[in-house]
Amino acid sequence: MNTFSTTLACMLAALLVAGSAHAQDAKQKPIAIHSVNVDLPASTASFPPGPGSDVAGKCLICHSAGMVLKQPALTQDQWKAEINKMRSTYGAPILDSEVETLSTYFAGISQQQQSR
Amino acid sequence: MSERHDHDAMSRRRFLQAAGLLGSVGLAGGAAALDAGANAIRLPFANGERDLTRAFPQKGNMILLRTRPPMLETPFEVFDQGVFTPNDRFFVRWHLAYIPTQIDADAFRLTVHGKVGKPLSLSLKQLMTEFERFEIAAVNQCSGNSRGFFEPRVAGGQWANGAMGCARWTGVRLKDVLDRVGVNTGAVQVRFNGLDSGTLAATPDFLKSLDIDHARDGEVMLAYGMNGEQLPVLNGFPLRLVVPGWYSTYWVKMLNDVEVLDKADDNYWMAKAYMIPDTPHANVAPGQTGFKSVPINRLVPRSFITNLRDGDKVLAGHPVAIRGIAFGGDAGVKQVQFSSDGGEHWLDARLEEDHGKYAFRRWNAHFTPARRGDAELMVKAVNSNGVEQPVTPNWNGGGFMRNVAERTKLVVA
Repeated sequence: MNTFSTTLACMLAALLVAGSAHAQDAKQKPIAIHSVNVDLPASTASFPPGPGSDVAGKCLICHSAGMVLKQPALTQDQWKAEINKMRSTYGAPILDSEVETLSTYFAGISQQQQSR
Repeated sequence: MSERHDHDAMSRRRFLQAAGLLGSVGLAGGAAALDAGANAIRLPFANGERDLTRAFPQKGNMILLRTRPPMLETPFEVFDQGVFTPNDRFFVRWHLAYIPTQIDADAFRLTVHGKVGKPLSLSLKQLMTEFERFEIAAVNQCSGNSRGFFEPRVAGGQWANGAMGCARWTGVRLKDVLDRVGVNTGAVQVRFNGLDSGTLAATPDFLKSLDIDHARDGEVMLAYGMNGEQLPVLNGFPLRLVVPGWYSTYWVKMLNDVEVLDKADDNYWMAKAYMIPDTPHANVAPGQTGFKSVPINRLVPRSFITNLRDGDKVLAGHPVAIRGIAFGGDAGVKQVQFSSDGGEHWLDARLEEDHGKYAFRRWNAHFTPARRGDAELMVKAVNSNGVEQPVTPNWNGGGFMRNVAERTKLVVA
């Protein structure tokens, strides 16, 4: 193969490679990855005052008040079931003696929320 | 500003949009100037008042359900804007309150271990350069999306229909990573863990598992890209599991640990939480007991009208454009049908571009209301396995897998 045809072959090969690389780029743009450092906002929701609101403060160890305030109108028994699930499954430090007060309080505020 | 006022403003805006479709000017004449600064909305069920928030990092305007750990819903109008849900509008749902907010991409490692030949610790760079790149468009939908519409209501995250989204996911096949470490004979499941954890020692870490054959199906993937960019922190930066066609509870975020198991995973999040009745449509009667439960799994088909909402006004005798999205769940969308008479008659909608069987599919249709009064639009999807959305809603105590054919009530003026 003479010099000219070698050069031509190289140019063609280069063009083919460039062409396919270009097609691939268009389809597969690289994902740029950068380290992150962000802040999560604090909750502005709070439990309304009333008997049981102090115990309800323990719920805030794991989640903000919105989780409770946005529930549908659960009965006191349904609230007891939720509270006991939080105690037995997730380790919420709510005492046996506090379940009655807390479930009464939640059933009350949950009822008040429903017109909202 | 009162919530009522916001609601009225939104209704007016939708009325204007509907009027615009008709090219009508007369009907919209009475609408007041719209308040662009609305900071709350009302979802259409009791206790549906929600703040709108822009306070979360890498997120635009979102519906606030819970601040900590974050639960953010996508405002429904976003779904009218395209097939792919923008990263900054994509829904967010975390279970456990400790979520790392500083993540060093160079220091991050994915550990793959358990019943394997050679455990590995992989950097992001290794994942991106040593494995074949894989992309798939797929819907990520919360198991409890639409829970707020359950009747009777059930406890849990009270979402409307915005705990879902569709993205193009970029990363590597889990199969390729498992092949690199060499899965031992006798492997049964693969378990996934992320960087999040509870604030109390007693709180079970969030772990999810897939059967070994599913994990190696060549579609389940580890994604470092979402719609062509790195994942937002709240959607799982730097790496999340993507399980096309399955509910998002399996799509473990901030994934840093993959463990091959030689027995079925009995951890809380597989054996107790996210269980559904093993019945058609995961449907039981309220109060029913004694049924078998299984871990939630495959997505079921859904479809939505995205340009019209309950209460929108249209004109008798004038054609109304309807458009929306559908997805087939664990299969492609074969057909979308709509009804303009509350489900008595159904017509095929036109399907738009196909972005893959797990993606949202846009559809469109027209109808001309014959007379004044109410008109009830319905829409339902049929997937390529022949599975069709039911016209009556399912019910279960977890509030999972709602996929009833949606209804939109219009006022014909």
